[in-house]
Amino acid sequence: MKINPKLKNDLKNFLLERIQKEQNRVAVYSADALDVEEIKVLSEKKFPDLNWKDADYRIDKSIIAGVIIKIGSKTIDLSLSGSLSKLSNTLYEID
Amino acid sequence: MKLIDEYLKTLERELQNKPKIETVETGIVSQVKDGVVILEGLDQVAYGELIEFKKNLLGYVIDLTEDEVGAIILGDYTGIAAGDKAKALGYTLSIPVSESLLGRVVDSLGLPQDGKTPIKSKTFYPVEKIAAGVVKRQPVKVSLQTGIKAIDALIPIGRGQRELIIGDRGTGKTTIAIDTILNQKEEDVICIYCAIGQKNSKVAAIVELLKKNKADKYTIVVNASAADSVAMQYLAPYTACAIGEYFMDKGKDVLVVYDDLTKHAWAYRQMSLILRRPAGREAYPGDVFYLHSRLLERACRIDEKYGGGSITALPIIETLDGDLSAYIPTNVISITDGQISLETDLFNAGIRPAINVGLSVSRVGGNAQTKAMKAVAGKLKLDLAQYRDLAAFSQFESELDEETKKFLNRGAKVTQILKQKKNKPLSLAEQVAILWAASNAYLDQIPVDQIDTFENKLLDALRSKGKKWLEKINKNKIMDEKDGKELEKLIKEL
Repeated sequence: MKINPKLKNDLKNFLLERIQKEQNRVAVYSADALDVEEIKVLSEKKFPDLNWKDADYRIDKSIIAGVIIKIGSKTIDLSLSGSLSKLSNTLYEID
Repeated sequence: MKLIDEYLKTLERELQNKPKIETVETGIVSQVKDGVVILEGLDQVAYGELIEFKKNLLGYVIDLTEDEVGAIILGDYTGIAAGDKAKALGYTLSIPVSESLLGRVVDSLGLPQDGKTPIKSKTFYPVEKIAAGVVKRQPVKVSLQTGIKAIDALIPIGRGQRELIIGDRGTGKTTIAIDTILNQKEEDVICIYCAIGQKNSKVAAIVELLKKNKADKYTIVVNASAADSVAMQYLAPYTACAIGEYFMDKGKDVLVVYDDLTKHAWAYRQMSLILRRPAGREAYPGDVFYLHSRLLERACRIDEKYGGGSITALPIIETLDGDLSAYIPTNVISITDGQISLETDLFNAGIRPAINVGLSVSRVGGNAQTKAMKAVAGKLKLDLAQYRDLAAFSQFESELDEETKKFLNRGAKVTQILKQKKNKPLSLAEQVAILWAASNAYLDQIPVDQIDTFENKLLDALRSKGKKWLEKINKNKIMDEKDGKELEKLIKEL
């Protein structure tokens, strides 16, 4: 059975749109759950350009403190663990 | 104590810096293969960009698909696991270059392999670069003396030329390249020896030989041995070329030896197969031709208007059973400006260097040959060509006329005189003197087994009595009638 090409195209576009939406979704990782005040600072003062509407908040103890914001493959690292690893890299280069 | 102070200072500096908000591209390793990893994420990464794994391990992006990124690992890839994070650094692979590279042994990333201090430099050169265009170039017209009689006389090489050295294993390919490096001592040419997939023992022997002959002062060795990952072997020649370009941009003449490009093609084939690129003939990927053409095209002679300088490339290709028509050999033959073909039979017959004069050519070197050499070599080529024809023919004929016998005799002597011991390069004037004697019938009366003795005697006489003559020819690179008479006198005294 042949699928109607128009149908096929529509389905492809629909799926692509969904994937893109999913990919561009903002994900915020923090060590502890963020309260409303903190989220407000992030979304309104620090990064107003991002699409915060259906942001995903996740908890990851390994980042110690601060937040990591991910949009697709882009990462903004504002965590303590990130700063520490950067520092350890800098020290590693002294030889 | 000093180290702790430095640590503290760095810590202080780091803490004073206000944290910057920066966006980085990140990805996650999904598959680890032999020297190649496949990553997810990294949506905005560019071809050729560097990515960083944990512990400062670097990767080099060489494959981009719709939702995956393929990268080769520069270094030890055994620690990488699926699920590891990677971040893009936003710049392409470059290596530190400076004068302090001279005399050093480095790997494909410009890191020292000789246990000495790291190479410090503020100048970085990209490993991959598009070759100089038509406007910036000028034709090859200055000679590059190899110090090997057979090559300088019959297959002359010019600065900026790409001359392939091709032959089976154990026919003296590397020896010709190394002798050429040894001969650049007085010539102000920077030499780079790039070993790809070679045994470390062989490279160590070469480094030792260069040191013994005081050639290490102007030579850089780039080594990606058979034990290094294929990624490093793949990058080594491009790194060597980038180092060459640094010196060329300073107006220097550079000689780069790629030893050998067969193994380079193998390394690339392995990488491509792991990346699941479509395989073509002999399982090489479709762009194996471009692999070598973009490398060898970077050899050039820059116009004086743009600073002068040149890169001469001596790529080496190893054939199997003398098969010049195999895939990689024909490719590289068609890219280069000529080839020096070496043969096992000649090597075993004691003709060393085992150059097959019939199959070897230099397409542009003729313009670069010095006048002095041209004067003696023109006749030589004719003698040899006639000898080859007659020698094949005369095997069936027992009775020969005087004229033919004369040609055969001359040819045998010329063949004998073109033999040369390894690691003993000769200066231009010394070569000219020997070849002049051969083409002016001074050897015709000497038995073949005594030619060697005659040559040594002549060289001794030249170095003692004829010192001024040697200096004059080496300086002017021209031999006139007066010089010929002087030489004649010297030879007659022997």
